[in-house]
Amino acid sequence: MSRKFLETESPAWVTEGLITQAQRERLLARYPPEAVQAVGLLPLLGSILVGLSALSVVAANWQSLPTTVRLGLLLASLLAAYAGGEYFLRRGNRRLGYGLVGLGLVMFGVSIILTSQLYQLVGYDVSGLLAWVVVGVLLSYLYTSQPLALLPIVIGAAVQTYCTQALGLFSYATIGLVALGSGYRWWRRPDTLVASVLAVGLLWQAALWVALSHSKITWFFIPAMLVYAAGDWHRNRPAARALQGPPLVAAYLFALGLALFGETDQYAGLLRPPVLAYLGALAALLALSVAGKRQQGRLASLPDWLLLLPGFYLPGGLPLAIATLVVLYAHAGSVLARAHRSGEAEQLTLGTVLFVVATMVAYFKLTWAFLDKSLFFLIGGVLLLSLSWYLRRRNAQRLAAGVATTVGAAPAPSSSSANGPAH
Amino acid sequence: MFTRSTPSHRLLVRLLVAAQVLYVLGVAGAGYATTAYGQHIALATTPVDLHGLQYESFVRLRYTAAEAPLTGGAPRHPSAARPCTCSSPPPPTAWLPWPACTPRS
Repeated sequence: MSRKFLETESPAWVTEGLITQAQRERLLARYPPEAVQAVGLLPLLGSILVGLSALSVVAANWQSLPTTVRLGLLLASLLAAYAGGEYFLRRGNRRLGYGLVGLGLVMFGVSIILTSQLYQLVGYDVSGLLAWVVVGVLLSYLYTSQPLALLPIVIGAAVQTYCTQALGLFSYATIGLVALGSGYRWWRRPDTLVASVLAVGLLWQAALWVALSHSKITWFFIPAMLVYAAGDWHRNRPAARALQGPPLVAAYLFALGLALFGETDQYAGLLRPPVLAYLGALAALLALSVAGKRQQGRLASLPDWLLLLPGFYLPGGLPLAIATLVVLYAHAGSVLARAHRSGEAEQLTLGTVLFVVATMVAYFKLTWAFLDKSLFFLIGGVLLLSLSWYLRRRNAQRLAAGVATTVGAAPAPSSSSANGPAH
Repeated sequence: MFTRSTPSHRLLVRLLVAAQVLYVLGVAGAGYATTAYGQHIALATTPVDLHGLQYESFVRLRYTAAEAPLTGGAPRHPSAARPCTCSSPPPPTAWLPWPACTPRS
């Protein structure tokens, strides 16, 4: 709730008798205007400008500096960043302290790259940059800071990208360090943002592996669903869902692509890995995931796996597209059913969006060829409008019922009248 | 979310920072050692094609050694892939952290 909101809304609260004028003034005094905070940013902006000027002076004269001076500058800025970070952390200024420690870690990577460039060392493997990832993971264990937990994941993805693109090698050590090192840190200190970034970072590296090894792209879902299954075993539900988000989004986009382009056998042919190996690996992951869900009492989220049904083994053509559409509808329906049972508004919105997307894909897929263009858009619009009206009505009813049952008897009339327009 | 400012924690941080400084010094040492003790290989360049300057702001350098004869060429062996110093300047198009001077063939 912002100060501006408070200023504009509170007179109405006073007139309605919710709060008194004295209480309003106390509330306003509790949240001072934000001009003070904006002024507080000025030193930060100033120091950024000073830093940039120093950086550009050094960068402009970098080639003409003697080797030892260059090396000394790199090491001095590395040490200064860490020392400054420790100093400010001890003073209690945690944001600046962690920022400087993170800067020190970045300086370490920059030092490795620039030093090896200084002596024109040619790197034929990633071992030089691997130390960067190692130090990043170790630092994230030494400090309980969220940005410092994110840094090694990002650095790992960057190192892997460089390694695969420039050297043509996949560094299993890098993905192992990120998965086990950063993964274990997340496991001990669950956090939703770290979970999402970790999942995205690991999926990025898995995608690089698929691209580099020219495997069938469906192999991507083996590491992706391993990440998903790991989320099933974690106690912290929000953090686990955040970890499972990126693999699910990837699987959903893949299913959507299959529904849209699966007709051409050429595309489907790109997706078919050896049946036994792929299905065996997928079944093992499914078993792992189900065991985790059962242990944590989350078997309701099992329909997530519908997206992984290997429909691409079907012969290409209309049967494949229709089978994928059925799967998309079943998945959207399962999300809606779960949301109706739990009464969560966000799940309900998500299920509605998935349902509408599946409907649109089905409509485009099945009627584009048969209908006149104007009729096509007209019927599509009417279909979507009626669908949104129906789903909105259902959602409102369901949420009202959920509120009524959870709140109990006394406040029920007011809550159902608040959600009244549906009736 | 508090920083454990215990002596052992501070010691670990210092050890980690010292390890980083040592590592960077080690990279520098490796580079110095390659220059001092490595084998110098002089690579002759082919005549530069200056026509490229009409279209680009750089010229491409080609090494004569890069063009292997079709018959009777020496077989490649892995030791050729060691870090080396190059007497001729690296190709100006190189932008990677490690300028690619290729001693492979």
